[in-house]
Amino acid sequence: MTATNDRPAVHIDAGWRHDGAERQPADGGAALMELRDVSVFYGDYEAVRGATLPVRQNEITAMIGPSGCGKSTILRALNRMNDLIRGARVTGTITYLGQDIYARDVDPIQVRRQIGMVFQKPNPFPKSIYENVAYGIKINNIKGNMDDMVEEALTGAALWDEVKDKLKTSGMALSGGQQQRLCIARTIAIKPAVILMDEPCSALDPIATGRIEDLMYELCKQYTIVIVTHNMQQAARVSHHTAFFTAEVDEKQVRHGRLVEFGETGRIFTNPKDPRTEGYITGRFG
Amino acid sequence: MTTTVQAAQQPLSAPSGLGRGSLATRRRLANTLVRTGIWLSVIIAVVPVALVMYYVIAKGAKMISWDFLTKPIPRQLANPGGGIGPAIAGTLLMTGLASLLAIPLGVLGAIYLNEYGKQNALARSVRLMSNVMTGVPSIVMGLFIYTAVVLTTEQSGLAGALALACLMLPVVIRSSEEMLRLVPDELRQASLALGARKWRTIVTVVLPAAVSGIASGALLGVARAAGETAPIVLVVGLTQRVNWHLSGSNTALPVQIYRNATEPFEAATDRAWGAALTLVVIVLLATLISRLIANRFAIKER
Ligand SMILES: Nc1ncnc2c1ncn2[C@@H]1O[C@H](COP(=O)(O)OP(=O)(O)OP(=O)(O)O)[C@@H](O)[C@H]1O
Ligand SMILES: [Mg+2]
Repeated sequence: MTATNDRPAVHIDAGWRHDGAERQPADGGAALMELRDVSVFYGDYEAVRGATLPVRQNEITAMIGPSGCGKSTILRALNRMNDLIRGARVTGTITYLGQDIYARDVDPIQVRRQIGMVFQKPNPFPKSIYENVAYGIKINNIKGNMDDMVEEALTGAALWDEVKDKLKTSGMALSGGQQQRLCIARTIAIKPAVILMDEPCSALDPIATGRIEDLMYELCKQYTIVIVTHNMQQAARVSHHTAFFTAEVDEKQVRHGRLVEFGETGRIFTNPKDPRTEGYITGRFG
Repeated sequence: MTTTVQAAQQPLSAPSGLGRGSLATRRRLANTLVRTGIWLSVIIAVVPVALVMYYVIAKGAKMISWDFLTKPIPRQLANPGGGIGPAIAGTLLMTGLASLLAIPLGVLGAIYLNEYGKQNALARSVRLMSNVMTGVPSIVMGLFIYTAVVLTTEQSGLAGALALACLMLPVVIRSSEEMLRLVPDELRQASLALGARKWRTIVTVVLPAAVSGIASGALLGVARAAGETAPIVLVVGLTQRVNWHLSGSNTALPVQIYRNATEPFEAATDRAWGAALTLVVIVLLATLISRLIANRFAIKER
């Protein structure tokens, strides 16, 4: 965790470059997931209309945009959490490793097993810290030494040192930032390929936020991360690619979320092509 | 931003003090009034309960002996001696069987309503029916079992257990559903996002989070069933001897309380108080057991 100091300020031409090496150029990396013309409906209401973007492997993809533009909606569509909402429906295609995750023969459980999610509000189970991490390992029948796997996950979430002496205490008794890292530990314990994070730092103070950001940077060496954030600096700091969404009123006076611009984070923040993106990131509206 | 600037420019006028004295008299008066009112209501609510407990213990305790708890019921209630053994056996047998029938069914029903059916037509009608059933007088339920079971077979402990189960079921369904509703959705989502199936989520996350509330609700049902008199008289009949079988006439504590209390003889009245204390203790024990079970399964919030 040495990442904090050399974190570039906003508007720097690239995302994070801690390892010194240039990451793969924009539009050149391998897309692990792809969204093609994705629309999400809640009943008759089309919350997001026609989004097309890739999610590249071992990268952090940020989704930004004003409140209500459908960022969470799109994020939930990526691991079929929308299935749990009555009347929610997805059109277009979302592929993971080339496979349509909404195909008829796809089991949403398997999708979620590969594509994990960390929620905005830390939501540890009212069980012990150990049980929280062990839960996913148990239900997915992952073989191996449970103690080792729990330690590995907690270490990976930068929480091990703080909780190693109190693994049997309730996860609810941790601080907000620790709870969120516990939720991350719980997610990486089952080793998903992709981790979706919906405003994971919105309930945290700057220090806890910094730790989670450091953590995301560490994690993206092994995992692919998609993060929704309201924090412009955070998107600029941590992400490699940024998708900017906004809400637009169509000819029938109905508001829809639209993807305005997608590109390398550095470019989006320094040289946005769309005036709406520029307006949002410079704080003129939204 | 603006607030900070303003605050810096014009600091708050020196507060007149943070003590109680700085509150407006009207607010202080209202506060005192409400507080007194709350205390009064608590006392008024507690006094009858305390009195009941006092009388039951004061009048019942002297009756309790091994003989009283085990001996058969005397034919002539006016005569001293004898016991309430058959009534204890009948209450344990029928309430126990009714609980075994109604609690699992009720909890499963509540799981269906809250986790699967939600607002669909079936769930809504089941919910409505169980609400209506909660309000059905117990004698009506007894009449139903009388027609459905007793007329085709005989008065029996089984018929009594069925009647009590019918009375418990809606209570268990309603209270369990209420408890399941209190489990935050975030927990379900967290579990599902880890790749858990729905039933797994329910068994490993939702039920443990709700179990202590479910146990309290189930106990309300048990207590209600244990205290029923009318349906037992109707569908179980009466006996003087201990009957641990589901067939044949039986009896229960509330029935014996009723019979003895309506006799004008001291021996009978004493027996009624003794039986009342026994019933209270049985319900208390059931409460303790349900607490123990709940604590065993509940997730600890330390
Ligand atoms: N469960 C739902 N049922 C119906 N409509 C919904 C539901 N969830 C979200 N919406 C609607 O979809 C639109 C997008 O919501 P979403 O939560 O995705 O926005 P968001 O970009 O995440 O906003 P925020 O930044 O405030 O979290 C909103 O208009 C919202 O009202
Ligand atoms: Mg959101």
